[in-house]
Amino acid sequence: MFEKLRSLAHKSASASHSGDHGNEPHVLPLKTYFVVFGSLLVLTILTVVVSVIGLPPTLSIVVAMAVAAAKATLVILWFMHLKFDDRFYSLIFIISLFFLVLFFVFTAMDVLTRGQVNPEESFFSQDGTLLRQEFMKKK
Amino acid sequence: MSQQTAHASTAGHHPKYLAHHFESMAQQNAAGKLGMWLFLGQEVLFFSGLFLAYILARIFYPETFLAAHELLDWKLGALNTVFLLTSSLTMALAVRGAQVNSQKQMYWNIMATLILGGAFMVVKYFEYTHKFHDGLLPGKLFDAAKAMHNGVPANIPGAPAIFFAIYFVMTGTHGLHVLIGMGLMIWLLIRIKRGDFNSENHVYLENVGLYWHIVDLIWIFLFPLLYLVR
Repeated sequence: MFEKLRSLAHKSASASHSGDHGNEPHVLPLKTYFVVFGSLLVLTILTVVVSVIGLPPTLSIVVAMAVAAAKATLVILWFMHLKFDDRFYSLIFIISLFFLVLFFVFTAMDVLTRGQVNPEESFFSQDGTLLRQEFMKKK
Repeated sequence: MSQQTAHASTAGHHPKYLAHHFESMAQQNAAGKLGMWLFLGQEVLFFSGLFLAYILARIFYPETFLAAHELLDWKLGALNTVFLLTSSLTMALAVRGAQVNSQKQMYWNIMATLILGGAFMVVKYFEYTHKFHDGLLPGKLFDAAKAMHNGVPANIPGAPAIFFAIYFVMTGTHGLHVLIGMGLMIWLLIRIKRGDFNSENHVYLENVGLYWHIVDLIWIFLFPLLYLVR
């Protein structure tokens, strides 16, 4: 981290650098911002349309999340400039996403497979239906 | 802020905004942005707990989510999505304005962002008061009888109280972030008026921008998850 900051300082001190890694900010053309914004609006319409046409439930949530992820990517890469900024910021962001996935997956592993370890603790019956009454009673 | 104070001993060749413990503006800006990205990583993890609560509740009560989302107005949700996306555009344009050293672009784009954030909160206010009025409240405050009396089809299977708990906590936390963001916009407007920012020194503006975009990002996921369940 300190190496990175030091190297950045040296780069700007030499002042001969131009482009995205020097002291000068990377200025994108205005058109880029409006194209990204337009794409975000189109994707918003898409997500509403997908919801209205009534896909099967599993496919519907997958498509909705894929569209949301696409929108998020557009915002992160262009509006937040991660595409043009120091890769170190991308690394920090990706690490946070890694821990998010870890959090989700480990919790899901517990909730969905608890019955295989101890059937009495299961949230699901043998045929896969939910045992919510049991779950509520345990609380 | 310490970055403001130009040090007399080094004032000769140092830029006005450079704090004495940094070697250059590039280093100072990189340090500021590094801190902001660490904070954004924390924000992602902070909201991940709420999203996980949503996932588990939806696994346990799929039919509740399917029925209860009908009580939310997706048109208002879509309107708010457009407000926030547009505000993200104006925020990005404000940062660009700083890069090209245009005080006017900075000022008016931040102003537009502030107004769009306000519009988002106004829509949210109407949604919330409507829910309060109909007794569509979280946990034990959920009042199906009152909702039915007001003509709202609140005979929802499963646990509607849990759905509304998740709805209010997620949108409430997000709304709080929008309010904080609006406060930051006002602070930026004051500082822009004071002439604090230029193409060399605008890391505050950039960092508030990054914060605002992450708030927008969270809404990008909240909108389909809460309003468009299928």
